[in-house]
Amino acid sequence: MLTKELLKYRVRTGRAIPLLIEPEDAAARACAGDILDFFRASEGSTLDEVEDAMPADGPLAPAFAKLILAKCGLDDEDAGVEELRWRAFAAATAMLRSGAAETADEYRGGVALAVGAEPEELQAQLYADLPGCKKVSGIPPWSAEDLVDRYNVALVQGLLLTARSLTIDFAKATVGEKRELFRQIKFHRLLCEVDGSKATLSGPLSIFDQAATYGSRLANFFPHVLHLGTWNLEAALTLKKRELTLKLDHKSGLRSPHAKRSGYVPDELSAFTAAFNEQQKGEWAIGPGEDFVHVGRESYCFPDLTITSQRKAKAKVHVELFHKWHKGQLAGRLDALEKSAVSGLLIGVAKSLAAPSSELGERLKRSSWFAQNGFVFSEFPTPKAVSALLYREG
Amino acid sequence: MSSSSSAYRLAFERGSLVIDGAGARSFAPRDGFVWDERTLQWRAPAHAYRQLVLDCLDKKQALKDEARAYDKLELRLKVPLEPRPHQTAALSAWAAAGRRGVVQLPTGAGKTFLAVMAIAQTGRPTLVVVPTIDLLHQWQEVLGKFLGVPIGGLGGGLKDLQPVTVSTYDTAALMIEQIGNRFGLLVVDECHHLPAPQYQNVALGSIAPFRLGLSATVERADGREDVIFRLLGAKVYEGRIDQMVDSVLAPYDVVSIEVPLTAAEEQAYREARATYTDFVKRMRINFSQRDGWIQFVRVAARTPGGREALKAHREQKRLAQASSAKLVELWKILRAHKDDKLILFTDDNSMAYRVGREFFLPVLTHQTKAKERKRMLEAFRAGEVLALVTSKVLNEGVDVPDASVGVVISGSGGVREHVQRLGRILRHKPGKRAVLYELISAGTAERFVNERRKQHHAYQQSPQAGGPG
Repeated sequence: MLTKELLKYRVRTGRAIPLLIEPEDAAARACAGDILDFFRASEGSTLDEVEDAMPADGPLAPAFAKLILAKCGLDDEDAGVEELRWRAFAAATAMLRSGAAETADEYRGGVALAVGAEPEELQAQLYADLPGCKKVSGIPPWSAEDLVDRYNVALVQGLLLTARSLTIDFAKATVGEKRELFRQIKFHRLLCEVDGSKATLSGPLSIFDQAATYGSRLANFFPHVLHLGTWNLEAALTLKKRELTLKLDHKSGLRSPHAKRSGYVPDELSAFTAAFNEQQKGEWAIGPGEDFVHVGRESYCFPDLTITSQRKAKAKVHVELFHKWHKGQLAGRLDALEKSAVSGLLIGVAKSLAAPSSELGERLKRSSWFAQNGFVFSEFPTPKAVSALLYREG
Repeated sequence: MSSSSSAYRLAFERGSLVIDGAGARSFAPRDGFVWDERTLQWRAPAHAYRQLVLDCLDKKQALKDEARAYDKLELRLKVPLEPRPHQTAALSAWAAAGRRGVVQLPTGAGKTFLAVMAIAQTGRPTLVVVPTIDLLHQWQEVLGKFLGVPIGGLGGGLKDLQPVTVSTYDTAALMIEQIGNRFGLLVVDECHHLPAPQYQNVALGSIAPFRLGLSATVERADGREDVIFRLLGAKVYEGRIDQMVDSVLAPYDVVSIEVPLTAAEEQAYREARATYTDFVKRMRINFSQRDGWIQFVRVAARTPGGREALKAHREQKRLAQASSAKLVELWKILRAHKDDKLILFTDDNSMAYRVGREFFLPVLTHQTKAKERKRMLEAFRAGEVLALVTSKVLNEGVDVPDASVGVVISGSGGVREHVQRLGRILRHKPGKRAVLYELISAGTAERFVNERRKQHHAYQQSPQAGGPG
């Protein structure tokens, strides 16, 4: 992320426009390449040496250097500096207390002699374990193009640090992309308000004047937006006491530095789908979950499966499965479902979660919502159990 | 709080309070609560808890309180503490204000002991928030000794939540969304830090109905102390250094020593100063305005010659703060006080390490590893080292009881910094007389900086000019 002094943007008619580097900007790429080459050639030099010799030409160099340094490591060799330091402190205290040295030079000579070193050598070694004296290592294996991409994302993140809220339009996102987006919203502890295909993100206290800012969470979350194929975003910023808008979309040329999570489909799910469709023979068709279901307040469920009636083309029933590792999520989901009037959703719960002796098992037993819309499975649901509920739903 | 089927349900949610349940839509809005269309609930920052509960009691309104996640806590002092008169007065004033408010006391006047007594008297789980890891350890030690219960710690690698817990501001700001409903008393040490936006969340996101702010100087250069009073309560007691000297604090002298620059230093200083001041005049930057410095940096960043002006500003400041004559004077002070304990203050780390290397002294900065910081402080307390050099780390709170000599080699014009530094050497001890030396480069802007910090009443004591011995 770039800090305030490195942010390059223009303000025009209430909008903050980040000065992103065009992907084909040869000069910027050359500068990025030069800085990367400089760091690779400097590997093993101390941080102070690297900072002193850093090329300062051009407006982008300091920002590129900051992004590289943030990923580098510093070798933490213990060459006995601390031990030497404490011997010097002890000798210095004794020397001062004795009053034996008339001049500062006599004093320095006396302390160095007690430690067994020359005064200048001891001075140079005394704090040789400070970060600035440590060797830079682990230069990231980026290309100039990678660095330019990271710069652009970091520039937007730097602006988003001042964001009060962020609205994303994800109309054309796939279910997998939406699932991942909402997972990240939750992971970054943001509060989400969905209106159609737009999600507005902020924090619980964002509605108050004195408010708490959630800029760093929004900025950290931002790279995940870039995994949507098609998107646009609008953020409300407070930059240098001015209220500004930031607008971006998938045509901005931004690329996420994070790898995209792939939508893995377990073998059991594929086998279940095939067996169910075979059994139903045209009555119902089952497939991967089609869209998210709002289950009250700020809770969204991304069903594993969606079953569509083949007779009444529009009737759909979603199925969400809770395995033994979903204990926390199940408790939260039950809370939300019992308080809201969600229809068209079935939940399947692994037997181990529904054990009658457990607190959760007791709760499932008492839940009238679960009695109507839930089922228990052993390893994986059977087509029979799901069918039974479907026919009960009508 | 009473509950019934028609009661509003009050819950704590990520640093806020929400009201839902039967009839929530008809909840009469009151201080701090607004209707949140995002979640269809009434919502307020968690600090509105006290007022809401008092309102409901007053109006006999039933409330199902699911927000509060703590009970009363039996706390007794394991080691007797006899409050001094100013502590008794401060505690009474705080209790009379409903156990809310800010107590301003100079360093060395026993703010931590005051808090121990407040915690024991209040009898609620308590979160103490402190600015540094050194202070976290120090508070844990004191609270553990007097309260005789395990003291939790959050920050600096610690993640141990106990009914009485000490946290750094940074960690508390990150965790308050999860722990804000688990404490009935919030103690904010060095509470002048609270107005920083990320730190305000700690007080906003906590339901603690009882709050105690502690500081030696609540006033801030930006005038935002109103934020402190809004979040913690009004200033309920103030003890001034000049009124406490002799009885509570050690008597002291302030000795200002002007030292000359060398001819080469003076030449370089004049050149750098001229480059900087010419730019300031040309750009008509007014430093008497509150945002004068920000204006300067902003204009310098986008104007030809601005980068040179910024560089020149840094250079003239460095020359004045780190003149070689100051090191000569420092040697005299070290020799004159060979039987005392000295703290040497600088404005930045680079000067602190220069002094440390020059005289082979321990330097304590934020770059010092936690283990070695502890070792340095212990060695200093035990008299194994004569002096500690520091830039800002020791400005606040850390207890160095026997230090009697302070040397300000360089510093800002801030009154708070001055009062804090002075406070480090004023802990009372029979027969102790403290001395604070200030080294000023003659003919430089340091003189104005020194005069600015002399505005504080603590300076009306006995300013002297001269040298050690």
